[in-house]
Amino acid sequence: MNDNKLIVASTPFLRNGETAHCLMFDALLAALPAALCAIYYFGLRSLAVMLAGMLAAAVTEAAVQILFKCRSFNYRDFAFSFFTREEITVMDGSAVVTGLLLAFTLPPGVPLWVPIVGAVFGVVVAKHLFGGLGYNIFNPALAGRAFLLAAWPAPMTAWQAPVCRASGPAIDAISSATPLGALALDGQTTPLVQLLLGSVGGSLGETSALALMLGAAYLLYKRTITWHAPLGMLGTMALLCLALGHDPLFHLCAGGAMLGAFFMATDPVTSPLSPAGRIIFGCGAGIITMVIRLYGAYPEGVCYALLIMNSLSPLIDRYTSRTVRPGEIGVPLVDTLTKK
Amino acid sequence: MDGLWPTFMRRSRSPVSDGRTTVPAAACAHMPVPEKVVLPLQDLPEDSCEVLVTTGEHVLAGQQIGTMGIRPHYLAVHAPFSGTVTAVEQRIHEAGGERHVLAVEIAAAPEQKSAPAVPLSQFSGDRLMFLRDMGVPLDFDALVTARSLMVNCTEFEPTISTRAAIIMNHAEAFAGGLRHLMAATGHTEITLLVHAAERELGARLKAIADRVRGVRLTAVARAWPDTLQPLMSFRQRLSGQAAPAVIVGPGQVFAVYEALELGQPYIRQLVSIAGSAVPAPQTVWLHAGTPLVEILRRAGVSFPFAGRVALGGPMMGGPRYSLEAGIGKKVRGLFAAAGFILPDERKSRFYQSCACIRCGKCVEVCPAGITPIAVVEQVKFHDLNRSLECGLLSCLECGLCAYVCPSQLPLVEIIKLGKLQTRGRESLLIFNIFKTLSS
Repeated sequence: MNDNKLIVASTPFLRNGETAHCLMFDALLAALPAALCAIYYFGLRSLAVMLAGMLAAAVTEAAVQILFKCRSFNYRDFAFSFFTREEITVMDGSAVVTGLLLAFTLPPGVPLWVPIVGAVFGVVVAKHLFGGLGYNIFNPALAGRAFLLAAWPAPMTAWQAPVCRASGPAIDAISSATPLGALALDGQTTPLVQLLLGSVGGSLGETSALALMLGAAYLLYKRTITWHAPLGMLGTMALLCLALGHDPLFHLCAGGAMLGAFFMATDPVTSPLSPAGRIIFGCGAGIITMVIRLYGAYPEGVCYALLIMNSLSPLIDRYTSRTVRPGEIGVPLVDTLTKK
Repeated sequence: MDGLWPTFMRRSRSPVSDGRTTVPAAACAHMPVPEKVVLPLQDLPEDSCEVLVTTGEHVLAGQQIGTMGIRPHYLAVHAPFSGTVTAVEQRIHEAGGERHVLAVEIAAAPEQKSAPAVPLSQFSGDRLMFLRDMGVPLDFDALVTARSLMVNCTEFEPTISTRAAIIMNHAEAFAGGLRHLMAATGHTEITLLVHAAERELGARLKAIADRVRGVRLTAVARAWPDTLQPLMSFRQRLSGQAAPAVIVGPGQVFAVYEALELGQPYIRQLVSIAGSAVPAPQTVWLHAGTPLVEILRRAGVSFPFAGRVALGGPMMGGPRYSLEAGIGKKVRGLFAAAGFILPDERKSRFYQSCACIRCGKCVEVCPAGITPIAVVEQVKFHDLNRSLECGLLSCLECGLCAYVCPSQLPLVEIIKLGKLQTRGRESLLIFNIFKTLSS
């Protein structure tokens, strides 16, 4: 007879130990090479922009959660009614990732209030008004950037040339066009080596394709992201370029294509669940990007392409998720073997 | 702040994704004769059964003491050693839950005597009937009706290695069992499934496949969970169509060999005992019906320390709250882990479940090809028709989705709840793996 009590819980008793926090930390780590590149090319000013974005996003997230999760408001114990230990998940790091990715899409010389306003908009409107982490329809970083671009177009399009250390100390910032802007305005193409290394004008995080690919390789190795959405997006862009007579390598490496494909299109919350859905998502984003780049008013279209596809991803999920007829039970492991 | 700093290593998608051959070098030991055994004669209280002994009667090792079910759909139960019947009464079932079933308790006699073996030549009836009489726990109906016959030599549970142990230590008997199984069921072909990463086991099976006519070896990329066979019988019952395959385990093949070749009834079984509360994980031959508490004690498990006991392994095991029941015929593993309940304020925030971030990892690993999180959402909304459309009943309850979930969601638990709400207990595969007489 055994007197002591046993724990009865549902299986599995094992977990592989990965948490949502790990995924966010991986994203931050993968963004590190691009962030270092930005600091190298644009100076410490870009570090301030990134820190402002991350800090603003984290503080906003904590504040919004404290406000939203206040269950029993009591004006006599005003402070205590907001003091709740549970459900404040700012430590999971998703807001910090949002802030950093938002800063990556901004020009290096923006005033510091720009990333702050963008991060607040992204976290409050795009994320928490839709229900918080896991329920948002639009990528908060991209929504913040779209809001900033619509509201304050002047600072959002003031591009700088990278600060070259050898070119003399006196010059602080030279205005310069981005590679895509130069292509749209004058028809100039930038050499591929510059695009890969990142010594071109542009947003903070999108200049160096090599640094972004390094981060993407880490994410792919850790299986934090899957290859489906990036391959769909970059592959479609390359095919469209070939079909329309443009240089595919230039379009893949210039502008936000790499950043969007590896860091934004793979955002778990706003992209479809199934591998097939992710490929469709990436293809759609690639087509819209190329249409905006080649025929639209803006020189760059990754942000809007991804936002449009974000709004479609519940629909993609509905059509790509496997449904079975009632009463039917699928056993794919056995069926694939017995059908051969 | 446990869980704040993630590792730079890649997390595994399955506890056995890299393959493993933890096969004991020598033959597996026999556990000594226990003081008593408890042999259940029913899986559920409403099942029919037949008792052939009375309290106080002396039985010999291998003597039939009753049957589960009645003819022609039955399975004989034999005494694992000689002794005295001390009770024929309602007892707790090892997998049957809170309701009690009829069981026979036998106390061991000081000296052991075996009942005379009954070879097949003295039996009037076909071979499958003989296997029922020898008490080999096979899915007899499916063996006849299914279109093909497979032997699953992959091991899904990380703590169990009985299949590899039987194939590596008893290759001859295994090959003989394959021949006998084909002769008994009328199948002309058997497919052996082996994990592609398990090279040593694959080489051994290749030698068997080359030698025995009709045996084919197929390497599969992932381990197949044991719940596939209950799922296919369930599908067959639901749709009335023949299952594409019937899957048996090497342990059952070995028992078929012992029954048909040597006339030995099914009174011993190979069980892996492992878990964090087991000082020396081992794979041993057990007497049928040995009480779980006895097995764990002999394996060196100390009781206030072991707080969690499950039949099977850590991924799909059936958790137990009582250890008095005897071990069932289909159990291949026993998992005992140190268990304690951590107060919530001491638990790291990162290991508490949070909202789904829709990362899609559950979709990537699901062997049933469904979208576990979609099913879970529909079950949570109490939309049972939609959850059936999402493939609720296709779930194998293997636990891989919850294993990889970064949000620590109890996916399998909610899916099982949905199954209970829609089809009731018969759809719970976890119960059907350990059910001795499959209906």
